[in-house]
Amino acid sequence: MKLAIIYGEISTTHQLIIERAQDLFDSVLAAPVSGIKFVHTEDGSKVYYKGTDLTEFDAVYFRTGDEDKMFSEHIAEVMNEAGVVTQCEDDSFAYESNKFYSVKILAESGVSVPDSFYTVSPDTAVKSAEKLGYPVIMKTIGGAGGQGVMRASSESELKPVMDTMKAFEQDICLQEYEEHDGTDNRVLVIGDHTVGYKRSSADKDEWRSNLGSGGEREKAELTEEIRETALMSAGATGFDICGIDIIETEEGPEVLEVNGAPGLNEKINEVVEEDVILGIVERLHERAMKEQKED
Amino acid sequence: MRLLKITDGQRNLEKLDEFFDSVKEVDIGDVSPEVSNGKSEIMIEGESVSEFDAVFASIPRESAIFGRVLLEIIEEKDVALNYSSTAFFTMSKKNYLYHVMQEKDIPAPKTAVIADEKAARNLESHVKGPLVARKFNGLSEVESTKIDTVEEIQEFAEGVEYGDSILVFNELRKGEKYRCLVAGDTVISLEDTSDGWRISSENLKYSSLSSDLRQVVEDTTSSLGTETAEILLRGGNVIDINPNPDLGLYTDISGKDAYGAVAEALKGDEE
Repeated sequence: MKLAIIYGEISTTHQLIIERAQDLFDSVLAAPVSGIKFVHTEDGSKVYYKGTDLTEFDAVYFRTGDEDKMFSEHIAEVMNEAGVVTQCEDDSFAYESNKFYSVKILAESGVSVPDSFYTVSPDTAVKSAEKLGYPVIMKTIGGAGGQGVMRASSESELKPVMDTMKAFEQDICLQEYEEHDGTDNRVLVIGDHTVGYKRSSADKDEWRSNLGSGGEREKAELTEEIRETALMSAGATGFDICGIDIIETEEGPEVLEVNGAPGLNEKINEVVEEDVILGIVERLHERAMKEQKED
Repeated sequence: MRLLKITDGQRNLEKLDEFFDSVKEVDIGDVSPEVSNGKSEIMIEGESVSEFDAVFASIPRESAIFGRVLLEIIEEKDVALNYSSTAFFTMSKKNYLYHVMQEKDIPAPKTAVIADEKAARNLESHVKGPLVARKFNGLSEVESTKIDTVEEIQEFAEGVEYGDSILVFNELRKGEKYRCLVAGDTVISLEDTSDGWRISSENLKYSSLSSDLRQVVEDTTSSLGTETAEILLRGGNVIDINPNPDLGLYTDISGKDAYGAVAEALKGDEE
């Protein structure tokens, strides 16, 4: 059994995955997406890394970011068509990498999400913000980990930011601001297993909890409602393994974001009191074994 | 019949108007897909897009991601469209297009796609020259050239760092070159009689396709799920598909009414 990890940025997380995977898989290959060749022929599509055909692997775990999607968004489709086990369906990363698209897909499945607008124009953004009511949250369509997320309390705050976004050719997702206690739940979904932790900002005035740096984590005792919401969100976006960011509002759990390659490290394992990384590798292995038997 | 035109203002599409009872045109920048109370919607000056009978979208390829979502919501409202969300996205994103064409058995050139200079090594073991090499920054094509040697592959890729550009290498099959407009059941084909491998806007003449090539063109639009598209043929291969054909060019050169053909395709069974 062979596992490949296709990654965007170099991260120590990949080494942790490899260490666990080596006990289960016969071979494990980590391939940077920058080294990938797609080859499309009448015999089908192949994905090569240094002469190795990754469509011949049993399982592939994608650890790519939003910035990789322009090149590699359809890599999951190629792998799935080749019968390789992945953590997602064909369009999962298309949804995940677009803040508005994921909201739309989640809403269609009955998941509670913030009211949202997708805009490419500063003037239209101002009109949309008036419909939402200030304050509004501005997100670059492809941002992750709290990056590219700002709050505007008025048109005078919104317009200059939107003009800057336009100058950088960034599409924008505007969302209603939901009052909450400044914490959110990151729920990790692995098949039908869920485990989660709460995140809060170290800065009391910081309303974003999912900043890549800083902040505190503690194990979340997931309510059945939050667990159901996480599983519904994973199902709606087609992920078998992912992270779901959920806030608790007066109306119930609301999903802010889906992450197809959530942050993983030993610290998170300690917080949630289980080896999530091993859980992911075991899930991929279990599905690859099942696939092999069916073949 | 009410028509909504969503455009970037770069093309003169007024001639479409005469085929509809009323027409409204909006700039793509003025359109903002929304999700409110769990429902997807697109409001056009205070009314839902679902109030229109048909939408003609002329969305630049560079807005493929925005366009994909916009068109998907319009489709979900059961409003007739000149191209589906999936078809528009596929036609716009060239590093995806060749995968889809192969999957759908559309005769297309063997193609390799990379995004970094390092990945160009040994590319010649996967695609054989001569090649047409194309460089895309984002979704915009910024350079294309013909390549005959392995050294030229490396030269073309030289300096490309991951995240900057995407390089597409198509095997070059020589032969007759055509630009074809497909609009519903209508195919208007223009032969490019110029020398060389490029298909241009020069030296075009109206010329019917062989029945085999016509079948290729019709099968291509049908399998992509689009009512209208421009299909470029070279040596019997579909070498590119353009979501936003220049209707004026087809009308002027062929003497056929390309606008009328598109309008009829949009009206479909409604008439």
